[in-house]
Amino acid sequence: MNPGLHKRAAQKALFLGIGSPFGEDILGWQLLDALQGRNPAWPGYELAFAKVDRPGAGLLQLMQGQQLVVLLDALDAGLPKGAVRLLERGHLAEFARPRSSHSFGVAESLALGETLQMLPASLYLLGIQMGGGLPPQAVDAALAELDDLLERNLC
Amino acid sequence: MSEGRDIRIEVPVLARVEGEGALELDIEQGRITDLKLRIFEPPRFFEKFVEGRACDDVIDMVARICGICPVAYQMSAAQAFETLFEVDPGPWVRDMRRVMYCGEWLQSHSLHIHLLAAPDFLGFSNAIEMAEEYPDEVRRGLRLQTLGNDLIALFGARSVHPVGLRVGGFYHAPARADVEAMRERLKAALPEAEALIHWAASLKLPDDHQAFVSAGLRHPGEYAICAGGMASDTGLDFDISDWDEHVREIHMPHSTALHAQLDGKPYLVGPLARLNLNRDRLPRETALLLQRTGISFPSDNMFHSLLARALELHMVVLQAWQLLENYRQPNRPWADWEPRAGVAFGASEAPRGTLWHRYEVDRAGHVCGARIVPPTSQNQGRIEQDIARSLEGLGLEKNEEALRLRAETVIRNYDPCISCATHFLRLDVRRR
Repeated sequence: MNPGLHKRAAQKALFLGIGSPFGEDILGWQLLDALQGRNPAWPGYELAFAKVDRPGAGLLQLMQGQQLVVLLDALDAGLPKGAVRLLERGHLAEFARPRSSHSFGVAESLALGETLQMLPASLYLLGIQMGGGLPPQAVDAALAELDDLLERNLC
Repeated sequence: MSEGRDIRIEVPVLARVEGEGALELDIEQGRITDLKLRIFEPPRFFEKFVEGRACDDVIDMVARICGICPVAYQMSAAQAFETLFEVDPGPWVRDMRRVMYCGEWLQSHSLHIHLLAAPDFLGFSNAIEMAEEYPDEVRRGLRLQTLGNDLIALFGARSVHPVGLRVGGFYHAPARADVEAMRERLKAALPEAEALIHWAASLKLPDDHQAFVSAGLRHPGEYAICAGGMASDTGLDFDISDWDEHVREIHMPHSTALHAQLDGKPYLVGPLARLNLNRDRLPRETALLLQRTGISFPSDNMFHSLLARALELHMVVLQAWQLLENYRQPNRPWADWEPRAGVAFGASEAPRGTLWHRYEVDRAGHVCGARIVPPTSQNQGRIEQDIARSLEGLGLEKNEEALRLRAETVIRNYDPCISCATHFLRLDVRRR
């Protein structure tokens, strides 16, 4: 463990499930529930979990004051069903095609946030490919991605 | 020159409107011969969904019709049932409902002005591009939108599809401390709302004058939001229960949304129509700001809708702040009621215009029939008329890109909520 960890104030980290109750748009919410249920231990971080339904540009306000944000969302990216991908901030616009039903969706909100310098210092999107629900191995894969992310953020 | 050429323009999607649709335009010998807004979002059958449901359930169900204006649907429905059951919710509920509705106008108007409409008038294709040159204005828009959402959530527990309203009042009254915190935020937002009016008035809007009928609710004592009688600038003034005597809905083959006519003609509802009708009901502070713009109302320039939205935005911030002064938290923020059979009518002013509901209710308080007339279907005939006149005014000889941009600008100016109207855009222009 990083010996310097306890000397600093806890950083705020937000896990934000994006979706709706309809069809596989719910995958982001289900993944959030599953991760929260595993009670992840992130030393040095004050964790918060929230679900939102098509937040539009309101997404930017939801992320204010957070040092680290992980968005959980269903992806339609041509990956194998149930595959999990952790996308870094720089790749969100070019790769992520979050399944959002509003014209001002997640991708547009993030692009606007980038322009307005309103994004948190650390921002990731944990996406799950639609088409096969939420298999248990997807939750395991998501946790492994987050553990890896934590390691990298603490270094 | 384009006359005599066969030209076809296709715009696959109309961006920055809610819902999906398309526009088809036929130009022959330099004249528009046909213009159709094709609505291909499938009908959503909400009017059938609510049949057999208890009226309190219906209030929560109709909120689902729209993610931008759910409060409007709830307010029109609540008013309909309360009028039929002769329940008086009292002044606290009336005031707090207006405050909650102010939240919806605030978030919807701020979203439309800053993120949807302003890029058209500043020469950007979207708000992200606009934010590079106007970051402070876009940030202001986001702050005001968030404030509106939080004001809705104060009463409805959440801003999208809130759950706080019931027949007779609210399920829950917000805590005094939460209201005080909200009041501080509203007070802090007033200078921003004032700056927005000056900014909106300074935008170079197209000078596009047209004859049209303005219609909407008018209330004897206030700028109509939650209730009123239906009025128009042609002298109409009727009770909302007489709606069918004046408003006729017509099914157009090219659209899954119904078109509405007022005494046989297209008409306008929404911010510009409201300001044209009700500017004498603006609070003094907002009226003074309007006067300072030097722009006179009533206006026949449809693009003054943006300024009308800005003025209404200032009004709702001001009035929410005022109505929450000396707030007291009642133990029981609702009035009791007994169901009765009959026909219930409700109408309120959604951010986009008048939203009318009619329910047939049985003795147990269950809905057996429903009709909902949203603002966008009322405006649809007017939008078609406006596009034709605006393009003719621009000059049909202009290139396809210029025509497409103007048509899109005209449509977005109405802030059409196609998903509410069951309803929206793609542009096909054919020239012969």
